[in-house]
Amino acid sequence: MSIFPTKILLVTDDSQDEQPARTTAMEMATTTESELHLLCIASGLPPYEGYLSHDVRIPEVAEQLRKRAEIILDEQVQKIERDGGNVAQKHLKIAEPMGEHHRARQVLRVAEDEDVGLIVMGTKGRWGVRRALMGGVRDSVVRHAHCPVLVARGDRAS
Amino acid sequence: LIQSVQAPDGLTAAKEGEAMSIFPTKILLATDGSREAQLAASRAEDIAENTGSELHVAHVGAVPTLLFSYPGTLGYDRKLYEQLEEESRELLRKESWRVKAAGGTVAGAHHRMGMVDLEIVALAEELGVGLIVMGCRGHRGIRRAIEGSISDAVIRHAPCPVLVVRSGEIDEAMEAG
Repeated sequence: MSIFPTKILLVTDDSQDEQPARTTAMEMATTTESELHLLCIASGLPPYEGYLSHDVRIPEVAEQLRKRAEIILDEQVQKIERDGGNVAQKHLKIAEPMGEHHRARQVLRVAEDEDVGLIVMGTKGRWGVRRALMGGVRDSVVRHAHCPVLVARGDRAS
Repeated sequence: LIQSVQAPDGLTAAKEGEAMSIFPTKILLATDGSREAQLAASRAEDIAENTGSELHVAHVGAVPTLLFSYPGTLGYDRKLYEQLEEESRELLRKESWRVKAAGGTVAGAHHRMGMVDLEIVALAEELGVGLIVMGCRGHRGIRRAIEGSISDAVIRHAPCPVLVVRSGEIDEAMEAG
């Protein structure tokens, strides 16, 4: 049996533009006539960065993060539409700082709520310590997702 | 490391300008004959059919460490090695037959011996594939910490997107059909 057409969830984070993941998800959606859903996980900065004021538990901070994530989502939608794709729905989640499991769980929750057939993620997001964190999110999602997960790496393609 | 991660802004901008389509492409199905790999096979076939892509099937016969007499060289136990090779060839034949039996078209079957993750990445580069599809056994805890995970290693080093199919899906697939 074929899983297509299905819902495809493209997961972005607020740090960088993940072009390979976006292109792959978009191509996949258009060639298989699937719905493309977009998810942005906004996260506060971890305390070791020295900004204790960047705590998502403070409402103003959460609001700011939400605004920033909305801008990123809109940019992504614009880019996808420019390249000839369509976005069925946008999702926005705020994650606690330092919580890679929390972030992964947010991704999985959206995937399960929407009953998506495929999750697409990039790996470019962060590097150094933050990359290790994002890598943790990716591994966690790959390990626990109820559907196939496609990981598109950024750095080699460009 | 950082240099390879960070692309110059100009380059990315130029790349983004051109709307490049990745489909149709070559899809590499890396299989080890497990249930997860069989599920991955059906997904790969599905994607290949829906995107008009070529499907290549690959199996890497894992060479146990005892057959590496020193790093990078195959050891002296020729008989054991040949037996392993024969077994893994048989497995590849079976798996590609399974794909064909399910109605898929196999553009090529590739057999390698050695370290599984390295060989898959090398093969993907050689064939110039646009997508690698593989199963994930989902080892947990200590086994995962010691053995690591082949799919993680492939994700980290692959030149192209990697689709990982996990075993949790098997029950759902069984229920569905």
